[in-house]
Amino acid sequence: METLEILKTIDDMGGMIKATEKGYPQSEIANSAYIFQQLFEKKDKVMVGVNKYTMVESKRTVQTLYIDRKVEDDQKKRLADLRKRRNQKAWADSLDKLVKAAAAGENLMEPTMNAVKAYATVEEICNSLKQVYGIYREAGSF
Amino acid sequence: VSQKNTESRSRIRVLIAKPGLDGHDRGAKVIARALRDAGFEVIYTGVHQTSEMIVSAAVQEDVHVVGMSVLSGAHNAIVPEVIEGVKKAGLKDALFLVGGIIPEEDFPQLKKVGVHMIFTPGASIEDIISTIEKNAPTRT
Repeated sequence: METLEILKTIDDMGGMIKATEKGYPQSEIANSAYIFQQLFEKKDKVMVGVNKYTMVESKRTVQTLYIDRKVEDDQKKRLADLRKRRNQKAWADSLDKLVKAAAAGENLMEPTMNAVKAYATVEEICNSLKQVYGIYREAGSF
Repeated sequence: VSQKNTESRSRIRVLIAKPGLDGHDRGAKVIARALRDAGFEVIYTGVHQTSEMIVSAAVQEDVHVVGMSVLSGAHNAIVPEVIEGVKKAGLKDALFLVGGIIPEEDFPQLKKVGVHMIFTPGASIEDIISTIEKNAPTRT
């Protein structure tokens, strides 16, 4: 019953996209998370091993894997090198076609594949699509 | 959550921030709301914030407390950046807190760069509230 009521609320708002824009599902999730936390702290809700039946943990035998900063530097170098090496015209054309396809509402699979083949980076592809679609900004409500 | 001291709490501004490529905002939102209910003034940044964005929010809102929620494993890279930025921007007395999935062996390093306290799963809201009450700077 509760589910049907929630679905009706979403329908009345004009569907899930409109509801999301209004922050409805986000605030419902935040509400239930907050209620859960309060029950959890009063131990009315039990998480075994976290707020009940806890035990002194034995020393971890698995080491945390720390990634050396050098890995980032190496990747940046590889990327800079790729940017110099790739065919500039093919790269620019592929992103241009991607933007046009997005603006025209066409299927993006082929232009995306072509951009990848022209060594456009994921960031460049995303930024091209952002020019057309914009990006989602959450309301920051809690 | 007790309602006492709400008047003195209302003078304390807390920024709850989600730095980096980490979309896990459930905990941050729970903390933000709990602190608001406890009487603090709370600003929540939303997810996917760069260090610069967090610094600028902290300065604009002239916050007393910066709480960073990091569950991505990038805390060793991001937290020092934010703290340095906030201090450089003039909020030298701000209280820095971190919450999330942080391995214990990283605690000393984070404390060294200026984190007052680190809260991991199972931490209680009351503890977070009293930590802020006891340690947030008073400004005239």
